[in-house]
Amino acid sequence: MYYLQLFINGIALGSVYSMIALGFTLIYSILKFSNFSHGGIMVISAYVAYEIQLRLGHKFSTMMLLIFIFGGLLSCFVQFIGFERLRRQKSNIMLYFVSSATLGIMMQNIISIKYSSFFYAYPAFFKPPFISIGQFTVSVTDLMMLGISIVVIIALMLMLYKTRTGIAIRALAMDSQTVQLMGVNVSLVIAITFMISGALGALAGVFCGINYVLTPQLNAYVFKGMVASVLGGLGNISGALYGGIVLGVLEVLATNFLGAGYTPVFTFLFMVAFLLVRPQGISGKIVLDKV
Amino acid sequence: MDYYYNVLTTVAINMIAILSMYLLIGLTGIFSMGQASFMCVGAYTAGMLATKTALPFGVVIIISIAAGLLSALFVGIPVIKLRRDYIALVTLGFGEAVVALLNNMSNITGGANGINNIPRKVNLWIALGFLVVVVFIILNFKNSRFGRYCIAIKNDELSAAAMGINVARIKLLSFVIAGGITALAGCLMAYNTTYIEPMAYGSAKSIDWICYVFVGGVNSLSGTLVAGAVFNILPEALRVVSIYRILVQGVIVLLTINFLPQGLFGEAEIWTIFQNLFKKKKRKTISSKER
Repeated sequence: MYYLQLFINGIALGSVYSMIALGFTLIYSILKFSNFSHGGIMVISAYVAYEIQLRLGHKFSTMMLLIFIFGGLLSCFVQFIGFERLRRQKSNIMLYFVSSATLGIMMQNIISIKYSSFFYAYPAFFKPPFISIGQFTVSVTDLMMLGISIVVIIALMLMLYKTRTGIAIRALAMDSQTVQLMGVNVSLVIAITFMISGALGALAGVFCGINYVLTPQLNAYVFKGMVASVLGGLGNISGALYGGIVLGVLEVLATNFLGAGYTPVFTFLFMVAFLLVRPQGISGKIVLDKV
Repeated sequence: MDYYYNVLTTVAINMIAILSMYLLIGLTGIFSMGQASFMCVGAYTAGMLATKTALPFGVVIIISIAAGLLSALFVGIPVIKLRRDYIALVTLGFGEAVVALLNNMSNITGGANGINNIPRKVNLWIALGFLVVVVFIILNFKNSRFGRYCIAIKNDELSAAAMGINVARIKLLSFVIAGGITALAGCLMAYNTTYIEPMAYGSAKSIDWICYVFVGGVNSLSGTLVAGAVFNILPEALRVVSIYRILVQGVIVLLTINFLPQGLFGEAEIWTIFQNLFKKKKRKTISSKER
């Protein structure tokens, strides 16, 4: 029973990781670089959500809706200042990487300056914080996290596989030049992708903030998203989903058996071992470098 | 006067570490997001040996470098065959793992308190001496056969392999050498500040180093030297606005990447610039005579 309980907690945590990984993977699949500014978007959104609930009352649903929109706009803005010109100039991929890492650190730093590294916490949104289902005790936050993640992920999948924009995004992931020749407005599609990724990142950031405390160090969670997407197969959208869940369960188990302090060590060793055995990820399909 | 002495010593030591980053990114094109953790390895090896044993300074330096080389080998062997983003990710994970280990093995490493009371044995001249030696080594490496292999790999891994270069071996070689150089910097840092703690060597530091290399010019050793010196001295000169250091640095990096994608120096080195000036003058005098 105890292990099943751990497993449930792991899946709840994993769903947040999946959301981070999805936002990360979306960008990776179209522009082929690791977007470290995703962490910065998570941090800023988490703090903005804190301000929103302070100003507009402790309403969970309004906060989530507003932060969803805010994250999208912020990410769009980041894309505009960080990557638009690089893309126009067809710059080396390495420069995207540096640009995103710089932006991530800058966004984290803006929050550190404004809130001077103190810890903040959201109020308790749910009145009974835990509910029991049968023999299990699940925190309402975990349940909410799981529920919202599932809804968002299903919506994203529908959007990617059923709408014209989604098809354009997936086509762009395959070959940007051909897509352009087919009459797709590449800049617009990239902006939309960044918007979706940012919105996912914002939600994930708020969940991380609810789960732990609000600190500027929240941007380290982009690392979890990256690990999740590597486990699933870098650049593979459904792989990011499995990867997140696997990582969540593994981390909860590792924390239980080794203690929270050694979890990063375990994650690192697991990742190295995994990459040695199966570098193509769980799903077996990764985006390859173009030759 | 003492203050400036100290600042310059720290700058010289940091430059050694930044040079190792130049070796990785500038020459071989490997993104190491956890390079600062090798500095951590060096610093802790030196700190523990210096406080618990009576080994002389020179021996401790050699052991620290060996520790850096070994840990770089340990990280390098599994990841070096993977692609760029994976290397960045695994080294980032290694950095987190090292910090977690140091924080948790508090009976050996002092945990989050770090190690105090390391004897102070580094002065400006020793640091500068090591800096000159490292510059000499890297310059020779760049002009040697291996350096040219590295540059070929950076520009195109596939065609480098097609030309008969053992890509994995060369990459591993430069990764290990860079690890050793960074560990040397860490060891000197421990003997300079007399105090070490794990949190000072996070991924933010590695990202800073990457940024310096890109601002100076990825292909130029002197560019890295100049950028490293400027970015290290500026915050000391502008103590008043030190909280905005990262923002200012980020803006500079973004502007450089967007408008000077080759960096400040491009392909040029300081000495080649002087040579060219000299040559042009010569040619002018000849041509004026002919006229």
